[in-house]
Amino acid sequence: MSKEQMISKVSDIVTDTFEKLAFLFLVPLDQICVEEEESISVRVLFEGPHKGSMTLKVPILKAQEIAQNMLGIDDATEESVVEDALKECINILCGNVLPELFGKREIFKIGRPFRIDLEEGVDNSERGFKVSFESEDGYCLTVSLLLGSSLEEASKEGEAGSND
Amino acid sequence: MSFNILLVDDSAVMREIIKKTLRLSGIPLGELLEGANGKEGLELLNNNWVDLVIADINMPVMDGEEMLDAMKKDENLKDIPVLVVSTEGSESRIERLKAKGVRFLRKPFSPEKLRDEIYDLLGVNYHEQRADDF
Ligand SMILES: [Mg+2]
Repeated sequence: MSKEQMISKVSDIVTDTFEKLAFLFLVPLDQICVEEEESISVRVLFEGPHKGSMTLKVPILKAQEIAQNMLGIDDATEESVVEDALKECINILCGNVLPELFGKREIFKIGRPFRIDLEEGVDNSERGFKVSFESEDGYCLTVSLLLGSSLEEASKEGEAGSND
Repeated sequence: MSFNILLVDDSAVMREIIKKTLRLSGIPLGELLEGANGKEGLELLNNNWVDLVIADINMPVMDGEEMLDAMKKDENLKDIPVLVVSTEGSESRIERLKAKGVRFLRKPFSPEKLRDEIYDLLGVNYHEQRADDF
């Protein structure tokens, strides 16, 4: 699987997940957006046939709306609740992305999601990629995946190990 | 008749989402019990009458699969229907869970899908139930 194919699969999972979970309609962008607004970032680490991390970065205002939609409430939401909602989002995203990229029969262990204050640069390298998405009202969300090894190696092994 | 349901998930947000879906589903609800891991789930099962368990897999302290194994070994708990609601994507692990006699629903799910799975598991006919409501 090429990196472009991986990005396309991740994009599909991200748009589908936010639509089902938070009634949020996202469009993948060709470029990574530079977000000036204050954001919240959450991350999960995973282990298994491949080690790595997945990170989600969301502007605070949008994150509040996501939490409200997930919980079905209208009022302003406490920051801890917003954080928990995003943690569950990244947990679900990662659980859906790994089998899609690395083989449906592989067993991964996904750690507990945690908040990160500063996102260390996961640029589009051979070990990972970032994808940005735009919401209908113009907010930008970014999802990134970083592996311990190169993407190319990892995806080859995944294909060899899967039956489909 | 109403159903006592136990929710076991380490995410409080996910428990809220499931509770919201249950309330909107029209399922006659008795007590809703909540645990944040398998160990808490087992304690609640031992002290309460539960008609259905909705459990996550990936949890700290004791995961959902360990909880399920403990339930299967317990004469009083082994026949309680279990719906696993998880992000688990590995087909081998899902098959292993299904072989233990549970239903599996992948996150993210639509509220309708969750409702239908529960109606099915509880053996309640949704349309009859709705007709009763009016
Ligand atoms: Mg969990």
